[in-house]
Amino acid sequence: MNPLQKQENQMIGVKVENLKKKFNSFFALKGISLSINKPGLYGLIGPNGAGKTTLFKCITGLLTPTEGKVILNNTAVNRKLLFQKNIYGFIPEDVGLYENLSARDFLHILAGLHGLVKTQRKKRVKEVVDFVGIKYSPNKIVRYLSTGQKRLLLIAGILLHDPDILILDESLSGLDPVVRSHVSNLMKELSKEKIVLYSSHILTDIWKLSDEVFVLNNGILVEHDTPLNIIKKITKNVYYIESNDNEEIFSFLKKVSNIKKIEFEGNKILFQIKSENVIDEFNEILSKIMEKHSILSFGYYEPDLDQLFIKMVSSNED
Amino acid sequence: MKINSRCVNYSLFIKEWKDAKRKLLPITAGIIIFSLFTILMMYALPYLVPDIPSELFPELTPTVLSQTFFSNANNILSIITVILCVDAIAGEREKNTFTLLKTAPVRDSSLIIIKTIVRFLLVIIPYIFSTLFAFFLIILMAGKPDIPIFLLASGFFILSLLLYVCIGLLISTFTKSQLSSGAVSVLVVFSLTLVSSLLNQEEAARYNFLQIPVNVFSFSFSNIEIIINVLLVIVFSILLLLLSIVIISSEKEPTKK
Repeated sequence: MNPLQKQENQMIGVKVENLKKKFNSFFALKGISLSINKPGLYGLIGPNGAGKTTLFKCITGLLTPTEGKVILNNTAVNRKLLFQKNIYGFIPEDVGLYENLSARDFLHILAGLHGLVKTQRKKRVKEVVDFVGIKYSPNKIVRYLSTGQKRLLLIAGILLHDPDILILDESLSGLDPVVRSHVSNLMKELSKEKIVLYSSHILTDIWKLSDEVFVLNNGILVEHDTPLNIIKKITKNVYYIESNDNEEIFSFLKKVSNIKKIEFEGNKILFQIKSENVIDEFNEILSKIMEKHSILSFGYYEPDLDQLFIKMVSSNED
Repeated sequence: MKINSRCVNYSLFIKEWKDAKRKLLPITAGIIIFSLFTILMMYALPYLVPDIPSELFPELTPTVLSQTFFSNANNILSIITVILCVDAIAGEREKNTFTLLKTAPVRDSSLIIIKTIVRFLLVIIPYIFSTLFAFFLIILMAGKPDIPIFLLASGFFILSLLLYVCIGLLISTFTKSQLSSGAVSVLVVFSLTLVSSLLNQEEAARYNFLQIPVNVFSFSFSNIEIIINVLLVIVFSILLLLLSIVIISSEKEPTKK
């Protein structure tokens, strides 16, 4: 049963239009536009200071944008509209809990703060606790809970009012692999019916879990696509060669006209081929190199995710 | 979608009360000990400063003891009250729990009013116990005080505590940490005490509403003067509450520490 009697077939969505946020003279967001209109898991990545938290706070109305607007479920975000606060559930990176309450009291109070009447509260708390998989005693005082237990409690807390949109800022960081995997599974499960927008520094999770990824850098949205498409875009026709004669091979490759980009990554030389028939072109280049040099390894370049992230961010900075 | 405001406000009250009631027992015990100390000190003074001739000490009548109790309570409880209020908003910001409230459908006005009510309860409950204790101690040591005057002083004192709660709340809304909030509070209460002491002479003393609980033992007040003083305290309290609500509603970054 839906505890807040939501309207059937209500359109869910997050729309951000030309969002700018200025702190003193510094623009933390420089005109972000994005649109999400179906349930799913949406990852937001970006280096520290990229504007991820600012974007989340603008979406939830905790920050007033300098310019632009945010629309949640077809209504422009306005702090005065109380009903809007039940559309989303937000866990900020550094949120505090009511440390002196028991876990049960914490959830009951949070449910009440979101308008759940006493008769519905007990049942709803039980449903959410079962769904989230909270195993510890509900009488345990919040300040004695571990980081992972607190995170699960917070997730349970934001699900009580059954929001359409979940916004989780760095909710996977600081957790051990078991809890992280559990939280990831929860997010995946929730994303079947809700929009789950989350940020994380753990790129493996972002690429593995997300249906779509938004890449933010210096307050600008630099990329938005499925993880697979982003990887394809960046590594399209990129090959690598590893040899003991890297310097000579590098000089040779620089002279080849069909090579678009060439760079070192550790002991490997990466190069992007610009040709109709990439494989033939690569074989030709390889055979020419092998005439003079011995090669340790070669192949299609599959970057590790950290490298991919650095590439996306640095290409934007260029 | 309509939000059940009664349910939201009740939960906010419970949350505040659960947090506040932990402080109730230590505060009550502290203030009762303070009352005991205040009254016994009057008896101990001639022994503590034997150089001063005993005729210079006032005769310890129930009125003198009552006046001493209210005077000391006025000085100490005013600062305790304001300090107890500084964590109301600044504390939530500091502990990062304010986000939980700001992302829930809680009206800013409800937030301020409920926090005021809970903190008011937190100071008047210990105050009532300590006043009752002082009352019976005075009866035991010096005889029965003038009950109507004692009740009037107590009533006024409770009203002035409301004003101090509102001052504390206001300071808490515009400060970002409990430390800065505490520092501003001490400054404000000392300034108020100073101004109130300066005003405590001649005709001005009749409308010096912060000193009424002490002054009722020195001279009689007409009904009109009492009503004016009551209205002054209530109006100032409401103005401070409104100002707190305006500040909290107009913040562009409410969760900023």
